[in-house]
Amino acid sequence: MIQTNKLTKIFRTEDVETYALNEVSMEVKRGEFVAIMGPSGCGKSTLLNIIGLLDNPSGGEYYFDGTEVGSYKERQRTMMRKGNIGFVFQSFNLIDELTVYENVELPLIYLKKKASERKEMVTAVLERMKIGHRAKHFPQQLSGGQQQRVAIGRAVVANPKLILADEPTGNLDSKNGLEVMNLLTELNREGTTIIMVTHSMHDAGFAHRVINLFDGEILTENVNEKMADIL
Amino acid sequence: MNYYIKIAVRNLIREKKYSLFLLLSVCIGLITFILVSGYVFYEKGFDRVFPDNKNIYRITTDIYSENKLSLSIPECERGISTSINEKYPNVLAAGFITKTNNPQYKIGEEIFTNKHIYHASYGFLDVFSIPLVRGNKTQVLTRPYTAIISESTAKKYFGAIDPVGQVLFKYPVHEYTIEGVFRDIPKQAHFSADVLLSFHDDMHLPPPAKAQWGETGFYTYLKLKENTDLNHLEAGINNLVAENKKSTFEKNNIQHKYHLQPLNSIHLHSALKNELEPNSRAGYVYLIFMVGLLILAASGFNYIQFSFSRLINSAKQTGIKKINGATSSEIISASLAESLIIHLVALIVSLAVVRMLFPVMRNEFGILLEPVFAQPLFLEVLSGILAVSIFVNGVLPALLISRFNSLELLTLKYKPVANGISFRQVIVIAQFVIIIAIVSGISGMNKQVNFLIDKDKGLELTNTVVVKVPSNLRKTSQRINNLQAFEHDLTSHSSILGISSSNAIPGDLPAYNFNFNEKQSQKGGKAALVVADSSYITNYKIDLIAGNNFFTNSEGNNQCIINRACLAVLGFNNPDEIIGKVLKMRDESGLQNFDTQIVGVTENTDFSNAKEKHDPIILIDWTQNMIWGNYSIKTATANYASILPFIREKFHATFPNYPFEYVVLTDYYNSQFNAENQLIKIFKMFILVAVLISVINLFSISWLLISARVKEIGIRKVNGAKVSEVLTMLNKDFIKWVAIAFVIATPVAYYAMNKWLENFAYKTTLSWWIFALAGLLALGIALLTVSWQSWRAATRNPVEALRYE
Repeated sequence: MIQTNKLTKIFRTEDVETYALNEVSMEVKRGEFVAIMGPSGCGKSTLLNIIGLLDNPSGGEYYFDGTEVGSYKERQRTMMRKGNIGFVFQSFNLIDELTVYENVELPLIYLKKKASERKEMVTAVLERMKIGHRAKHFPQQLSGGQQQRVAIGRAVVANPKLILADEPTGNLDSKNGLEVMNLLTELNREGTTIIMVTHSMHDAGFAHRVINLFDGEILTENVNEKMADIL
Repeated sequence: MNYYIKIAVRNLIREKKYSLFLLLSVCIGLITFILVSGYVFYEKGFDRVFPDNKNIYRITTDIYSENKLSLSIPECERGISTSINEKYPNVLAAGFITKTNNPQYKIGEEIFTNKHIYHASYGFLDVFSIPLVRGNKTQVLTRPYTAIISESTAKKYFGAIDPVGQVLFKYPVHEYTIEGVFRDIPKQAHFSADVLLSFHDDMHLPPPAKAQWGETGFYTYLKLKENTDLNHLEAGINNLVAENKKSTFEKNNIQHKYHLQPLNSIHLHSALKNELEPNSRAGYVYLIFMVGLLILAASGFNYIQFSFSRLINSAKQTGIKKINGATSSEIISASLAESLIIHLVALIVSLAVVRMLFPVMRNEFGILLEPVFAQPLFLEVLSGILAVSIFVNGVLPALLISRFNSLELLTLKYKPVANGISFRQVIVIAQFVIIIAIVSGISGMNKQVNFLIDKDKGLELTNTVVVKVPSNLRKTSQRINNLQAFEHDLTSHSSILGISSSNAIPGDLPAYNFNFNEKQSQKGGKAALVVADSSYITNYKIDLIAGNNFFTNSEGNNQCIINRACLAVLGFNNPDEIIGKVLKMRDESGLQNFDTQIVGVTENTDFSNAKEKHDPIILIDWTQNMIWGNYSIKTATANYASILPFIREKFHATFPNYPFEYVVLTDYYNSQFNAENQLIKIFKMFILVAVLISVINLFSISWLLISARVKEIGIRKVNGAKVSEVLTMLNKDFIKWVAIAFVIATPVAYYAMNKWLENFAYKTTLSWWIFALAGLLALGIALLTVSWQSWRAATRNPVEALRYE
């Protein structure tokens, strides 16, 4: 589903060029759950953003579902992203001005779904995230775990093929973190591909495969025996 | 769309401060725009209310004595309007109005004074297409002693009764039969008339007024065919009068030059002696328009500022929307929805405020705002401004922000420009330039007006009430007895220091229509005659620099007192030398010649007004056989309320059936500063608005700047900075901006003030403190606005500040 070939990302300031990614080649198959690990500044998030079509690579190729999208313009990337990719962030990134319901509804609005259809889909997702009773609340009125469940709800509401999670448990305590990981695992079992950036060995344990990045390069790739079995 | 509006409303409510500031800025801009355009359109629309106004002209007269222009008046001889259309078929209608000699009237039992009652020819109605609601159009104003009255006058004095056939009594003796009712003259006209009296050869009128080619006292208007050759017609008028007045002109060595003044230019561009109503000055209107534009610009700057603050505030939200699939057009739609709502609310609020200001503008400034809303140009420009505003606020920032990468948006923050000058700084400085310039302008104007009010005028105006008595009344023996009793009664009152009688009082504009005999005056020119009794000079404390006051008990007719300006015109330097000389005077109609001996010379006085240079005035004592209209009563206190009942009682005893009317002289005299005071009043409103705008702006800027420096402040405090040091650091920039604004504004204001002062013959000095005061005010505003937020930032616990980052 995802294939990168010598993907490079360079950040330039006035005097310095920094290689955030240096010829990263990797592949993620449909239905996989992949964790990306590595120390701070190793390029994990940069890689995730490029995979998520939020950012362009400076060089190399990126095939999404067989299409080369590395050279896509912003507009094309938006169109490709819509309905195909869902995002979960460490800091949740909910819109404070919108209710739980409206936050989850957001991707459907831009997919131009009918109101009745939206309602059905959002209600179903909220039930599933066990947050239906909070639909009319605003994000600030929720606990961190609840907020992240809303964010996951928003990521999956349009039934995307791919979910990208950037340290989804980073701001949560262990109990809520576990709950989020269980949710992601469940989604994966139902067929959604998941790529997750994490610092936590524990969380990485939920993935089938762990990619270790260091200074913008892939250091190792380990298949997680226990999880791979399940696959 | 429904969805966008719902979210927009919620965003606006959540971001209360931002929405309120933005709303305020748009409202201030809109209200300023509506009021200023209302004012400008009102002033520019004068006389355009009359049909065919483009083809109506007034005849003005330039009077040359010995080839030197001595006087320009908006009047001419009666003969022009009666004979011009015979000779020139391009003149479709011609008519005149002329002032009445005594503005006191009685309808039924009601006695009143009204200066808006004129004699008029029928042609006058024709020129201005004044419609009659009652009466026969072909007959009114054609018979002697008839009148037509305005609809509101009819309503006021007759109510439901039909006024036609009723009688208007004009003091002292004439009855006018009302023959018709005309529709009210619109307020937006350079004259107003409540009643028009006929003017007929068979009426009892003074000979110089009645003569076809006598007095130049007729405000004459012509309605011309489209594309009439004005030069040709002007030449024709000049020839017409020259033929008929040749001997008069030659005898007095004077010339008249007539001009056609377009009706539409009268209100803003005509400032001749003897205008029917005080006109506005085009310069003042443009000045107000320009300052209004500046205020609009200042408010516009704010508004751009807030639009871009909104861009930054909503960056995160926009970023999330983009990550979730929003396209640029969807982001623009959302922003547009917010902008539309704000502008709609602002428009409603502004219109409501303007509506509430209708009576204020009418009563305080004499401006009707209603007409502007019927102006297509105004409505077009207003819609244009709204459209541009919605675009600038709703589309532009969204366009800009949609070009950012969604990830950048999530972390976008305001970063103050470290070096150089940012757009924000330019705006703050520009706003302070405006404030400092207007404030120093107002102080300067105030100083000038006060200077004129306080300046030594050569006569004393304080503690004086003037009682109006019938004028031009020949004294019968009965009347002489009455008057003597009246004067005696008044002067015996302990609070009354003296009384004097005259035909004109300070603030009046006497007619400058007496010519010196050419042999006596080397320079030529005209003088005004003021009829006054012998106590006039002492009562008004006018300095006598040579000779004596009128000889008491003399017949007076052949003696006069001149002023210093007159002395100069007669070619004398030493006032003593002219005493005893005989002045040969002629009035311009040539009908009244007389010789008079100079018995005294007074210092110049600011008789008519304090703004212009002194003109020659000759005091004549003709009070022995006539009553001349005004009794100036000098009192011991300015508390007139205690004396007026007494005066009223004595007046009624002396002049039964006459209305008791008086003016407080200082009020009357100072009404000449109305235009300046109105300008000051308008500018004061502008200042309020300008200060409000800059406070809003400063508040938001300081909030932005200071919140961007929270971490820096924390670090500085951790490293030992005191609160006072942090405060100094934060406020320093703002003080610098005010200082820059001061340096820019002062020369501009100084130049503008000097230009304005050129309007006056007597000028105040522009003291340094005028500008210092304006600068201090600006500094005070800046520091007060900013310090509240700096104080909060500076006293904050540094640990909290650092954690916050």
